[in-house]
Amino acid sequence: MLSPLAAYGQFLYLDRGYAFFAPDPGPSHLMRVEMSRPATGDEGEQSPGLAEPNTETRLYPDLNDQWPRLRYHRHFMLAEFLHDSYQPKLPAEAASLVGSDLAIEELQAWRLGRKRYEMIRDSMSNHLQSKFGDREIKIDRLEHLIPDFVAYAQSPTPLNDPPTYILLEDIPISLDTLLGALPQSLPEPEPNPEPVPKPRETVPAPSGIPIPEDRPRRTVPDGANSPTTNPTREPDVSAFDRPVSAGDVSQ
Amino acid sequence: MIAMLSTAVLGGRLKKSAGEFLDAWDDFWFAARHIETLAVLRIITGAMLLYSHVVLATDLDSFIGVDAWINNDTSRALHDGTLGEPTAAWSYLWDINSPALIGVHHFITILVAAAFMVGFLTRITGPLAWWFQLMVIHRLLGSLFGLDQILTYCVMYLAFTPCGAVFSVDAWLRRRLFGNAESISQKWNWLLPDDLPSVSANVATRLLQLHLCVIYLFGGLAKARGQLWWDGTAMWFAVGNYEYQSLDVTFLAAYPRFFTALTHLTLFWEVFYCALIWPRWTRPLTLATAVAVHGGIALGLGMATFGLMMIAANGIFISPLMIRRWRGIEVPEPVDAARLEPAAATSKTIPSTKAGTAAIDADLAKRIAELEKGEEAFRKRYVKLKRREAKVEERNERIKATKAKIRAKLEDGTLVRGDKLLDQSGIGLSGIGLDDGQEESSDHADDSLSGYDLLNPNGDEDS
Repeated sequence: MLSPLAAYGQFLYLDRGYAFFAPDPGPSHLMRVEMSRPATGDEGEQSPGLAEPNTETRLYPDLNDQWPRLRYHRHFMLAEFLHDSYQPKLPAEAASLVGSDLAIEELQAWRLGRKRYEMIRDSMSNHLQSKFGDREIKIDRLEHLIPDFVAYAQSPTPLNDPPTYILLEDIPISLDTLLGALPQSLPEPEPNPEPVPKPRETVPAPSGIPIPEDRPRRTVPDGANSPTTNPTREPDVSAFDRPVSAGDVSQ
Repeated sequence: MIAMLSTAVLGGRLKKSAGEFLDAWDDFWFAARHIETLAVLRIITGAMLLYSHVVLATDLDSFIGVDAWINNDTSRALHDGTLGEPTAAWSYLWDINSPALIGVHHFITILVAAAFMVGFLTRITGPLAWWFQLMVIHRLLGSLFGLDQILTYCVMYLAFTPCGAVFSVDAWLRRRLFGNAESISQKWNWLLPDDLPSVSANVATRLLQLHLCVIYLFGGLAKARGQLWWDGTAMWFAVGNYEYQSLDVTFLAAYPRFFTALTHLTLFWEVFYCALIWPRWTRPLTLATAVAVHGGIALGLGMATFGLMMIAANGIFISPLMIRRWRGIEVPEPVDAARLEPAAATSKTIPSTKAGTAAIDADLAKRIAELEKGEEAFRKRYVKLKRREAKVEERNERIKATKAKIRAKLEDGTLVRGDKLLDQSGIGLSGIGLDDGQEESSDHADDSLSGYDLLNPNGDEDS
C-alpha cells in the first residue's frame, strides 16, 4: 500500500530504521589493511608499523590517524559497512546443486551478495592505493570482542588487549551452510518479513561471553602503528569465522 | 420510542465528540505558533551542518570522488539496482569525477550551511542546505550514522518555515531596510519574514515532535527484541566498547545493579517517550532523561555530534513563548501558556497582517462563545443550588421543630420507644442532640463549584 511512497522515503532519507545499539550492543568491527610494496632494497623507507619487510599494517578506524572524532567515526562506520556487506565465496560445486536442493534465485542472491562485497572491498583497496601509492593492498575484517563484566570486574584488562581482536578471514562457505541458510544481506527470493534495518552506529549482537582461554591467540608485533593492536594472521582463525554476515547491508 | 430517543442522544453525543475532535485536531496542526524554538534549532542545526561539511572537507577525496573509499561507480551501483534492489536515493555527486568540481560544490555547500546557520536569506538557504545535505548523504553511503539522520530531518522540517524571522541576519536586514513599516511588499515579507506566529512553524514543529516519537518508539522496540536490554547488561556492552569509548567508565563493571538499572531505565524511557512527552507533568522529566541519555552518549560513547543534535531536536518541545519571555518580550499571561499548543497564547499577540487579525477575531469569537456557555452553566448551577439551599433550610426548620417536641416529651416523660416523632426526625434516641448536619454535608458535596472551569465548561482534556 505504501509502495508508491517508498521512492519519496528513500530520496528524502526517511526510509531509515531506528535501532541505536539494538537489538543488542555488541563487538565492533575494524579493517586491518596490509600494504606491501615490491622489495626495492631500500629498507630505510619503511614505516615504523611494518609487520614484516615491505609491509605496512594499518587499522581503521584509528584515533591517531583520524581527527576530529567525527572523521574517526565515519571511518569506523566504513569498517562496519564492509563487515555488514560481507558475503562469503560460494563453493565451486554450488552451481551443480541448483534444483531441489538450491533454488536458482538463492544462488543468484548469494552471487550478487558476494559481488557487492567484492566491489566495496575493491573500492576501498583502490582508495588506499591512490592514497598510499602503488602497493598491494589486503583488507581483513577484525572483530573486537567486549569482555564480560564479571570477568572484567574481577581482573580488569585493557579493552584493547590483543586477544580480544579476532580475525575474520574470507573463506568460502561450506555446502552445508549454503543449503541451510540464506544470505541475510540481500533481498530474499521469496517474500519474507523485512528485517529491522540497522543504522550505522549499531553493531551486531555480541556473544556476551568472555574470550575462552583455549581460543587460539594472535600475536601482535611491537611497534605497530595503531594505538590499539595489529593482530597478525594465524592459520587456524578461520575456524571462528562466521559463515554468513550477520549484518544488514541497508543503512 | 425509547430506542429512537437513545439513538438520537447517542448521535448528538457522537456529533459533539467529532466536532470537538476536529477542533482539537485543527488546533494541534494549524494554530499559529511563534518561531523562536525553530530559530534556535536552526542555529544549532546550521552549526552542526557546517561542522559536518567542514570535517568532510578536510578529507574530501576520501569520501567523495573517483578515489573515495566508496568510489563513484560503487556508490552508484549500490543505489541503481546493480548490486541489489534499486533505490531512489539518488545523488548527482556520483557522476562528478573532477576533484576541482567536487571541491567547488563542497565549498558552496559549506557557504550555504553557514548562511543557514546565521539566518541569511533563510527562505532560500534553508531549502538549499537541505538539498545539499541530501546529495551528500546519498553519496556517503557506508560512512553514515545517527547524526546524519537527525541532522537531515531537522534541516528538512526547518527548510520551509520562516525560521529566519528572529535571531538572524534576515531580521537585522528587515529592521535595517524597512524599520517598523507596515506596508511591505509580499515578496519582501516572504524573503525577510516578520516576527509573527505562523501556521507553517506549527506544522513543522508538530512533524518533528511526532518524528521524534516515532524514532524513540521504534528504537525502543528494536532494543526490546534483544536480550541484553532485558538482562540489564546492555549498558555494560556499550561502555565496554573500545571503539566507541571517549570516556572510560568501565569501573561500572563492579556495580552491576547500577548499570542494570540504567539499562532498564533507558529501555523504558525510549519505549514510552511517545506517551510521556505530551502530558505537562511528565514532559520535563522525559526531556531531562533525554538530555541525560544523549549527554551520556555524547560524553562517553564518542558521539558528541549525535548526542548534541538529539538534545537540540528534543528542544522542539519547548514553548516559543518561554524563549520570548527570555527575550524580554511581554507575553500576555495565557490561560494555557505551558501547554503544548500555544495557540491561545499566541493568538493574543496582535499581529499587523490582515490574516492575523482575522485569526484573532475568530479566536475571540470562539472564546466569547465559550465564556457565554460557561456563564449560562454557572447560572443554572446557581439556581439549582439556591433551590437546594431552600430545601435544606426547610428541612432544618422541620428537624428543629421535631427536636423541640421530642425534648418537650422527654421533659414530660411521655416519650416512648417507637414514638411517631422519632420516625419523623429520622434519628434514634441515641442520636438526639447530636450533629444532624452530617447527612446534609455529604448530600451536598456535589454542589461545590470547586473544580469547575469557567473557561472550559465542557471539561475538555488538556492535549
